[in-house]
Amino acid sequence: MDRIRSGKADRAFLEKCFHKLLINFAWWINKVDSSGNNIFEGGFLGLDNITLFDRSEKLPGGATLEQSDATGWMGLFCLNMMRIALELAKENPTYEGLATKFFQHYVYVGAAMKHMGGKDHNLWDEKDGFFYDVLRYPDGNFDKLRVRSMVGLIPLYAVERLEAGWIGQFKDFTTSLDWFLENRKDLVQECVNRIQHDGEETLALTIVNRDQLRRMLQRMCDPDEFLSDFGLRSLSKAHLANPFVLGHNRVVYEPGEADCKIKGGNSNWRGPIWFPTAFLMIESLRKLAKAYGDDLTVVDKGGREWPIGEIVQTHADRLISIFVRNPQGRRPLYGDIGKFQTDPHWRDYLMFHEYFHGDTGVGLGASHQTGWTGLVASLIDEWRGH
Amino acid sequence: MFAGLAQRGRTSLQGAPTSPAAASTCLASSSGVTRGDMGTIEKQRLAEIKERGAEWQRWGPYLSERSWGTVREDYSADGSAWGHLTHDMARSKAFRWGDDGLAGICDRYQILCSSLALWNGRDPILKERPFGLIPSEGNHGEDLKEYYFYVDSTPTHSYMKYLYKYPQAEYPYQHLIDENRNRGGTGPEYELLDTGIFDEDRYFDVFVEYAKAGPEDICIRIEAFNRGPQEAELHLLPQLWFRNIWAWTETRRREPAITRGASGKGFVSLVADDSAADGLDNLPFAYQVGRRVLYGEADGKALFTDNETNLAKLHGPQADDGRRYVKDAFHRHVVGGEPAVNPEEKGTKACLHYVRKVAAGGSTVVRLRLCAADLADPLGEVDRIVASRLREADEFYAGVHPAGASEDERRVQRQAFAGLMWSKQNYLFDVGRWLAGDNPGLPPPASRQHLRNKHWRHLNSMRVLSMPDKWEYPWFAAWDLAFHTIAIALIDAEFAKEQLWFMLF
Repeated sequence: MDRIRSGKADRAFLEKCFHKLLINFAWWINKVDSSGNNIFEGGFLGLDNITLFDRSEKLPGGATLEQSDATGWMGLFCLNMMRIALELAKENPTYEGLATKFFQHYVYVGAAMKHMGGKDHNLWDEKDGFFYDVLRYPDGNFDKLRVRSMVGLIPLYAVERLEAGWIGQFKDFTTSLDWFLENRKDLVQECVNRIQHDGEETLALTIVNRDQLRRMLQRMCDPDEFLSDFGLRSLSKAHLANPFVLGHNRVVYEPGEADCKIKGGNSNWRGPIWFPTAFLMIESLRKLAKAYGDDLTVVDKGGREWPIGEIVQTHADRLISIFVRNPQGRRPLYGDIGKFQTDPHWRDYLMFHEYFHGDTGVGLGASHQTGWTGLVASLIDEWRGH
Repeated sequence: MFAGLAQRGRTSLQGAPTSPAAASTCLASSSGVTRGDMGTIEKQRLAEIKERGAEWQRWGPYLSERSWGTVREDYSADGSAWGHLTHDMARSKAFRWGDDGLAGICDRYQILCSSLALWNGRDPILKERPFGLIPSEGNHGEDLKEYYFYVDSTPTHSYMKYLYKYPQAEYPYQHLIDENRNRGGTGPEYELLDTGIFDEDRYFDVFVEYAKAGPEDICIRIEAFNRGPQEAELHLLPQLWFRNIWAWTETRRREPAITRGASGKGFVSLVADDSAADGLDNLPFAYQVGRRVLYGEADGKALFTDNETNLAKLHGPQADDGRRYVKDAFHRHVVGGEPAVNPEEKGTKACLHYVRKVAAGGSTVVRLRLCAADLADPLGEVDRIVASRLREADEFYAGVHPAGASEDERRVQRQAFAGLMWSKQNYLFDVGRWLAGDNPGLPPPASRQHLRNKHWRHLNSMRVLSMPDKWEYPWFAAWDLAFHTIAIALIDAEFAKEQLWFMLF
């Protein structure tokens, strides 16, 4: 950021944060992977009522929940650390070793998530083409929670691009990387995608391969699943007609207010649009679009072909459109509140709600949460070109 | 996070930068900054902070919008924070860990606070702080029931604008509670607009603008528009008070004081001074705000009381400690006509009371100025300074908006930045002291030791933090805050970095 704005990167800041993050990383590794299998439980990870259970509570019968999002977040953490280490390595080669360490760690987490050796309860579900949480019982049995939600999209957050031309400057790192690519193909094939562009190779570090990415993207450009008129839903609309049921627990698409009172019931992750998660998805898809280029396309069920770049642009535009007057002069966030739509003393004053209705874009929850909803400022910055 | 207590680095305060420096900037009637190679004047101010620790961010909108119903103020035996200190009790209870108000400002360590109170002549209480439902009352949990807007703010708060929409009819406090309860958690929330109170536009649009004439010289312009069809009367009470940092220990510490200041052509004034008071005891340097003057237009009647808890009201006559002048005095004086204010014109809390008749469709303006200097004509320049700070804000944001953004997208982006800037808040919390209590003679209930925060004894925060929402979320949230910094970095990268580092500390 500083380098772009002022021409001078703030290396000292990055370096001090990196050292502190090393400690945080160790905490996560030691605290939330109870079986030491690189699959993370994590307990409550935000997204209050998104799953079947209250994730702050202990599960009945000694069961454990292996969570796609927890593991996705750790993959993201590994890749961010790798990227920071490489940035620091430009001036201090010591950091190349740490970049290698985090690359390896990413590979272990990614591979574990995709394919757990000898076990058959992968988080990735080949039939549905989606990541699901797995409820594991002490007797070895398990249930796959077939809920299509943000939880299953979050593994896409773990994404980084390594261009051969750029990493050439890091000799130690590339030596280790090459060794890994040659000798641990079993792991690497699950989470490193080699893409050729104009004779140059780019490594797309992502837990999904090209085909899996396509299958997830298909759901993200499907108006009957994740793509609302106002951006990314937190839960697929498919669960409107087909709720997921396990025992007494039930997840149904609820685009506005939730009936389920997990976590006090004043926030709802079972359909509405939330800026932080939608924003991170846009950032991830942008990196993927850059890595794959527009020859990665998805055909939606209506037969329309979407280049990945167009999917990202659509998500960004729709989030921004929540606030902006539409051709009818109305701001979607204010719905049918007449005063806010037509009265000159009201219509141009904006509130920044906590989350937004999954079908209409109407603002819900806290009304002054400019905090993360203020990310619309970043979206305008990024998608309205300087 | 122990050392998080002090703002170090770029925002560090070496000693007490009080009267002399502040006075000189106060005397300068222009911004004290000229346009250089740094682009806009606002960017120049940001550079001055970074390069030489200029105090442009010492004063800002750091006052919370809700301190009642918070964990920090909860000293109950069962951890029922919402019930322990309610909205209705808030006007009578001196807060321990931080104050609240409408459109409020304070200094970096929240020694001296200022905010606006309003009264329409019909409400049962002054409108001093935003009202909302608590989780057990709301249809979907706690929920703010007000219309106010963060219209604008630059990163140094050299210019800020806020809008509060105040109904002229009696505010339906109880009706909002009853109707939302009746809905029993299903269907939409029942909002203030749904009550019909804004019908026929019988309300005031109260705009509050802050414009810094210098780093520590703040012009305040309040303009209230009567949007209704008939003339209406409005009481405006700009308040000035010291956060209570003296009443908690076994032996009371020395208090600061607010007294009547000089009057002159077109103005009256209040003088707040903490020079002879005990300062904060958990900073690694001495910190005071020194002598500060709040000037206001001449028709303001100065009222004085103390920022002390009304013990008799909250805990019954047996708890009365004999203090005559307490926190809710202005409410009792203005709404109830009681002789609750101190006729000796001194105390730790004061206000200027304006009563203005506003014609239908017309407006009334109250000008004020908070600074360190004695000025002969403090208010004459207020409109001009406000206009020039607004112009500089326009210039600053013209350089921020991307070329391809439409006019309306620019409006959205600017108000998003305004919200992020206005949502800064002093986050004052020493968990060890909170658990143990301040006074060994009056320990909090023992059960409290195990209810909340027992693993957070190391936290001792004195910081200004970027908050998700100053009403619903007046607490720090690391995950949220990391997102805030993405957008904040576009206008104030140094503040964004400081906030990220604070979460890692």
